[in-house]
Amino acid sequence: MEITLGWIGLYAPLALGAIGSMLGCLRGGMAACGAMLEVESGYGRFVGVAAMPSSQTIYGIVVTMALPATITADNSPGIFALGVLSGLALFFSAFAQGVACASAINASKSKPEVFGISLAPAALIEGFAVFAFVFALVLAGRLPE
Amino acid sequence: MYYDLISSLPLLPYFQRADRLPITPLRLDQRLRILSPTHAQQLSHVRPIVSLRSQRFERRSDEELVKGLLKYRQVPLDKCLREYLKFRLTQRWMIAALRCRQSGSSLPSELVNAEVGLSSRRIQQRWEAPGFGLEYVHRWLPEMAHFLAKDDLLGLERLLVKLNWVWLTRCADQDMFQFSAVFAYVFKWDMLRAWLQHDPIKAKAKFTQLVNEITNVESS
Repeated sequence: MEITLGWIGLYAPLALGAIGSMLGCLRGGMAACGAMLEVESGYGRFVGVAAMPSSQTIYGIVVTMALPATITADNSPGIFALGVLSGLALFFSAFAQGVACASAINASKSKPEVFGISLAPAALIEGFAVFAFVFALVLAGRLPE
Repeated sequence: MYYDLISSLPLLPYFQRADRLPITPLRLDQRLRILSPTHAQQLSHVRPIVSLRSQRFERRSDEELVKGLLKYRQVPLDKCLREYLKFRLTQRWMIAALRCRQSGSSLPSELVNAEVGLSSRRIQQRWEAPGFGLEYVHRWLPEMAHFLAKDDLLGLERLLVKLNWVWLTRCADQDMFQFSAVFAYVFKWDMLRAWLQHDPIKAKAKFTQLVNEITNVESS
């Protein structure tokens, strides 16, 4: 049982981060497609903004790789806790970032001059995801091999 | 969730600052095809009732109008849409009551029986009070009564559009990409179109033409 938990924890950051990225990119992508119907140019930047939540998957991959590859009864509870919690943080940050990106696309479609500032909420959310990612790496180094 | 639909709609300017519609009726209808069948049906049911220029109930008696409204109360609606319908019907109900009082008549039985979201008995009990004693529930009531008393119908319409505009904007802000944002946009667009149709020069010319027809000024 403990070993199973360890394996769940090992894969959780990647799986949860990827699911969050999918949902976030879906929201941003839908907003980008809608905005493309309304504007005559600048499609590329909408797609770029819609892709912002994909970074959580990369963080998830790195955290998974940083966790101990050898799962034992000693380290599996720690791997489970670290993996699931960091995965949840990445999942929700990607989801929320998708909504923030959709809002930014919607706002900058009508007022292109607010494009930069409208991305501030999405950037803040990215910051929180980075916190979760960095501290997951730090704590992963303290887990027993 | 309607991320694509909301993002495909242009920004609606505030009705008093707008000089044209930002999207044509045809284009708006095209965009609204993304709506789910349930939401599309709800929108098509409620749209004629809440519009400032009612078309569905044109040339019908009060009784038929009330019957129509009561029928749509039975239709399952999105919570926010139902709240807005209640808000809008309350306004219509109050205007009808204020007009009846102003003309010296009593509340028509159709309206008494309708009970559209408020107590008609309470209004009847306080028929002579300026705002039927409901000023604290509906803060817009004294202003509405003031415009009606002055026969300032344009002022009354401006107040109505403003009240509904604010309500719908607040509703859309709560769920930016949900159905509530969609119907808020559509209803605001309807109000904007109705508002932009006001043309004082055309109205004056039409009024003069009608007066001339009645008084036979042209023929004499």
